[in-house]
Amino acid sequence: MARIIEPDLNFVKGVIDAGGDTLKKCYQCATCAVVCPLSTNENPFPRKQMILAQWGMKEQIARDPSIWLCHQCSDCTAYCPRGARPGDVLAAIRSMAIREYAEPKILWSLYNNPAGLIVLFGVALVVVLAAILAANHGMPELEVPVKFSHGLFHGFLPVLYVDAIFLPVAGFAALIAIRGIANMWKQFTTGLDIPEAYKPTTMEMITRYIIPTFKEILDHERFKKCGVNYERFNGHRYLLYAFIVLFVVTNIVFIGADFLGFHTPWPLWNPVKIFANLGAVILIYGSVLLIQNRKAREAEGNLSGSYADWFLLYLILFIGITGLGAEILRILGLRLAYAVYIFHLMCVFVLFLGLPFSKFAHLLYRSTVMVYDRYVTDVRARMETSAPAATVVEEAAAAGEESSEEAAAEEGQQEAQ
Amino acid sequence: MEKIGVFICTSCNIGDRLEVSELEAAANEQGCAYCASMPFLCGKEGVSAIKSAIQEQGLDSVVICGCSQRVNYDVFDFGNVPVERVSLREGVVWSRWPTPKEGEELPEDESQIEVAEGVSFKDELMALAKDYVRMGVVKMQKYAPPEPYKPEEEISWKILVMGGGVAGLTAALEVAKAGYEAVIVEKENELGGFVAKMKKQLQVGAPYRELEEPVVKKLIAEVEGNDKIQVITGATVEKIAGAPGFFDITLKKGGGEDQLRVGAIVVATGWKPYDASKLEEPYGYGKYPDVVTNVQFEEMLAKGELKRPSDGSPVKSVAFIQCAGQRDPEHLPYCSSVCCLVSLKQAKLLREMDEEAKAYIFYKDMRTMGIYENFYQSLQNDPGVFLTKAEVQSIAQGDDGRMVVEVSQTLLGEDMAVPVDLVVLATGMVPTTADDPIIPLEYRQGPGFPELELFYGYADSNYICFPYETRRTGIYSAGCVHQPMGIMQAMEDATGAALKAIQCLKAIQAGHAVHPRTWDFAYPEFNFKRCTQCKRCTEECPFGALDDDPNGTPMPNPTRCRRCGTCFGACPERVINFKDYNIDMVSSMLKACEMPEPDYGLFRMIAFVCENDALPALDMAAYHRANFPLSIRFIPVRCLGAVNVAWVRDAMSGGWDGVLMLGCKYGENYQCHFVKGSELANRRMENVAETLQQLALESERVVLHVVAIDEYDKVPKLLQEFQESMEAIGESPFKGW
Repeated sequence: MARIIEPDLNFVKGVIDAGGDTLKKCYQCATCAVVCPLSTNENPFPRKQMILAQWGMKEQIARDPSIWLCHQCSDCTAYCPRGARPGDVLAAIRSMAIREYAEPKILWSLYNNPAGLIVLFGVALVVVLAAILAANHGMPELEVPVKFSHGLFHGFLPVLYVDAIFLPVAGFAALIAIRGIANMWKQFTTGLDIPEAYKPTTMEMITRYIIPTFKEILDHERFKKCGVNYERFNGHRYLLYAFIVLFVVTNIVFIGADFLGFHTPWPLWNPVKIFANLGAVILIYGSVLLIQNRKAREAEGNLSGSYADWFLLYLILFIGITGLGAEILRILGLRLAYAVYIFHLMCVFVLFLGLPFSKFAHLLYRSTVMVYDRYVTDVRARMETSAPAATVVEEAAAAGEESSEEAAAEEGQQEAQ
Repeated sequence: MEKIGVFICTSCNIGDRLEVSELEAAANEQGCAYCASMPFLCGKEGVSAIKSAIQEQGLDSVVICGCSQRVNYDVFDFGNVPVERVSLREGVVWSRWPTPKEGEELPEDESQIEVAEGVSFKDELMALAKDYVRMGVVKMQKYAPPEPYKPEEEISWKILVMGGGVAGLTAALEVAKAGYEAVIVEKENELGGFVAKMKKQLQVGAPYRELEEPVVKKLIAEVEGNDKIQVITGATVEKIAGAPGFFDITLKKGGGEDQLRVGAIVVATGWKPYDASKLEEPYGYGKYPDVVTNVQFEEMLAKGELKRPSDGSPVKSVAFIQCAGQRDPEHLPYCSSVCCLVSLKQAKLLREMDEEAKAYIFYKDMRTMGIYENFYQSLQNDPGVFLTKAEVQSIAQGDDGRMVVEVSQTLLGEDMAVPVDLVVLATGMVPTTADDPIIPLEYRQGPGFPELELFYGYADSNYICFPYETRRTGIYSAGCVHQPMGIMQAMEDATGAALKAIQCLKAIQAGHAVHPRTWDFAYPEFNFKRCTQCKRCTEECPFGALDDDPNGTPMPNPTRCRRCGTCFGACPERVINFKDYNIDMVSSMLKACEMPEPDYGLFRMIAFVCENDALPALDMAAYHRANFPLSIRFIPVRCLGAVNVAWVRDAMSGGWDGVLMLGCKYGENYQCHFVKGSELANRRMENVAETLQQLALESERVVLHVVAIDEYDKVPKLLQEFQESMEAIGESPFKGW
């Protein structure tokens, strides 16, 4: 008996609403699969995904890693004779997949809907203001020269109060993210039937698949190969570097200020400070590049950005501008710095919380898929040569390197989205 | 004709390659009254010179020796003075060339090229041209001006429309709009046909995306308000006697009979759905109440009640199975052309009634004719319409009572089992003519249109050349009895058929053929004294034009006749002749050609060429400067069916070495203008073989080939091969007798 198919009409409508409104135009001519470098004989990408989505086959799409391997170079959209815009539909499908792993779903809706913008920033404002009011037992004094905190307990917004806001938010986001990644991994590997002998240990998992994937992401090799224009590749790479830099310096400052007692602000000549400011500049530059690129491609008609795309890009841009702006205004001794600082914290709040809900989630899921892709490709290759991991580690590693490099290159590109 | 003027054009290479004075001499020898040659005969000076010669010399006919009869026919039109055209350009100077042997360099002067011992290329070329000139003069000598056929009875200008559906109503309205009277005979008690039962129909007009009210209501109102249209419902046509212009119709209404006289008939009796009870396997029709046909579903939609026939629960999902019993050799081998659109329409109506409903369409190929691609696209965009190519494996009831459609070969790349509330089979159209003659003709050849199996029972014909035409003159088919079609096309079709019916009456009034030789005033005349009642003519007439009396003597009906000459070709006694086309004419033309003495070294072949397709193919080959053998002369004929075996006999006994017949493709997908001409000619080859046997000649000397109009590139090779096969047989022993 063939498989029972009951299309999920709401999923179809969901993809259409999430920016895939051209989904139904596809008539399976396969032009997209011809131009797409991800397409294989077994998996005619994205043609297959288009009809699965048309037929509301949510489960099968969610189980399909390749939707995350797409970096939306939009060649398919450019060549589609029917105006079905597979690139945009794939982006919508990814958005739906993020929703699938998100909990509570209401947060996904807030991040993928213009109306949610007010709610999110409203909540962020309330939280930040509440912290300020609580720390100062009322209205804070806007002292000049500007100082955002006086150590852990005092000042406009003391360090511990900042932690009190962001540690729970980041923790919550991380929990949902881990849950999402775990679900995804489970979905992918269920029914994969990899024999015990080929299953890697945790250590092997890390050394053979996760670390090479990180390298690959850093290099953005896949992204570069996609045939995407250089600005987009570059902009995305800058953003990634900026996030890494800012992640590192934030943690250094967190430990330095909270535990070692080095009160902020640190002087401008401090290498960490220099590093942090550099990160902020790269962040702004990268997001401007990407915004320009997206605008240009929309003008060409090869991309129609959804709300979620623009939301994330502008959020990142504002984080950079407000962060750097608050610092400059503080140094200049202008009271406006306080307001800008509050706005900066709000933006960061929205970004942190949005990790598993907004488009930012592609950081989680695409990376996961890249690890998975590396893993499955390697296991399959070894199963073909019938060499379990333990026996031919060396050989497989040598062989795997090549194939994974290629795979890595492709994955890296998707990051740029 | 008595006083024949011959005019030889010297332009278009004719004067360069031919000795015009010799041609003039040949014409004079043959007995023309006047002969002249000049350049650019088709120019102003040329035409006025001919006109003044006609005046001054008192010419009663002219022979123009220049280009083919297929060009400049409007230039060489001299009113009552008949014109014969001799093709010196296409037939001689543009299609016959000296061929050097390998490595040989030919002299420029064609009289220096030897083609046989003591015979130059120029000699043979001139022999050919002179033969053509002589044949042209002889043809005109044997020609009598045709007189229009004037029937004794008065023509009825009323047009009978059989069927009161969209096509019938439109046809009647178009007849009335053109100022004539129409009678609609409808067997049901109401007008409207199938479309009246629909809920909605596809938009007839741009942008072809929406649905609209069935157009038939508007048409019925228009018909009922038109005093030129008489409507007879609840009646059937029992008998049709007579001929175009004066058909006598017997109607049966209630218990009584009624008589009616009409001039022409439009058959718009439509279609009926294919018998779905034959579709139990694999579609489960009859086995499961929740498997219905598209016609039944249309009725459910029109009622506005979508309930499962099995238990009355609401229908939330429907699987449409396209081509159910269609494009299937076991059932209907053809595509009904509308079912894809019907299912899309029904899906749209379903979705409009319930926005949570799902419509699945499983198709072999999605075929939405014309601009209805727009409709397909609009439905494709509906999230609740699921489309895939698929082969149905089984339709069965699931455990929960719902129907489960199992399909393979899907666009999703896997076999699927789709549970639905209702299965709708897109069964096809069967024309009403499939198992009922529909037109109860009192013709010798019986009621109904002959050989409709060529068109799966549809009252169609060779549609490429002649849409609307049937094989019964004055009777035109329109709508779904003609071809499977949608509403818009049926309306167009009906308009065309109505105008053809009027055109038919106009032709009868003028006294010329209806179709396709619309200009032709000649018609076959019978010399009954010599008729042996062999019945070949009455049996072979492709159009049933000839009835016969109890003795078997043919009774011609000239208004049914299309002037193909099939009867003429069939008659062994040669008693049938046209004023402008007869046995003696062509036999004399054959004799007028100069037959060389035995052992001349070169051959003489005659080719009878269908003037509808083979002749234009030869002309086109000439325009490409193809090379035909010098030894072949062409005689254009009305149709290969109009070649009498007597001509073959005359040619063979007259010393011709071979006879070639070039006609149209016959059988399935025939291309003959007269449907059966080349087929009959081929059948008559048996008689030809007999004739050859009597003359103790090889049967290979007479060959029939089919040539399509666009096969001009193949003609030279075909002729060359014919020549070579004659050379292999050798010279005719009848030379010099």
